[in-house]
Amino acid sequence: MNRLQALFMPVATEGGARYSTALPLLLAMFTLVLWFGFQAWQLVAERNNLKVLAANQATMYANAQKMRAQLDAIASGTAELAREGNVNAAQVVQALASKGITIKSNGAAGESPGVN
Amino acid sequence: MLGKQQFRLLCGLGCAALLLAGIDIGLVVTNRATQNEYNTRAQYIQQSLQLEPVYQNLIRTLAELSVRQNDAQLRGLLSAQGIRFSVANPEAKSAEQSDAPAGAKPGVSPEAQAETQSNGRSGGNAAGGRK
Repeated sequence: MNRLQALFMPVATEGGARYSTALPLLLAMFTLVLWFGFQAWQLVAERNNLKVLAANQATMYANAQKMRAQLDAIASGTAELAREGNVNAAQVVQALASKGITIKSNGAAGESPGVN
Repeated sequence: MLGKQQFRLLCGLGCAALLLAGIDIGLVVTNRATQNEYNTRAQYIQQSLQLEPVYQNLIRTLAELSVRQNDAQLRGLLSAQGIRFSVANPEAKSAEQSDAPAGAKPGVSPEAQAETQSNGRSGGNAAGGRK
């Protein structure tokens, strides 16, 4: 009880009443620990949410990658066939070009903005 | 003036605060990196969705042309990507895609759908669908 009283009660000295610095320091430190602890808890929750979101996104991302790889391969193959003189492939390339879709020479399919 | 117990308590709390601050900083950095990666992938998926009609039309057109003109080169190009098709109705000549990332499409014959399901996934791997 004496220790607790010492935190609150002023001590009479020659210069006047003096209070202990322990209580404000303890309060500040408790607040700091509480705040950092709360932030850590929130950040861990956010991290877990992000993990779930990323896991849900993985399948769609893999499918998108496969689709793009196929599109690139087919488009470049079609362009290659057109260059080699395949009339049907040339028709397809021409039809794509008329829609604003150009097949890049490095094999990647490029689409101009605003198409579709 | 601090007592011995108060001093120890304050030091312990200070250490805990320091540790928690370090953990918080680490979590913020990793969360930001994860968020950035997620956003990049979401953007990639969104752009891929815009390319999906182009992909479908291209494959459909190539398949129709290969059947109509009996073009073995175009058929080979599609089959190299694991895309097989069959003409269910000679008049309609509808081409089907059996190994597309988006899964079975409208107009796919039961045979082609069965092939897609047997692949074990809706989004087919190009290599996995080759024959």
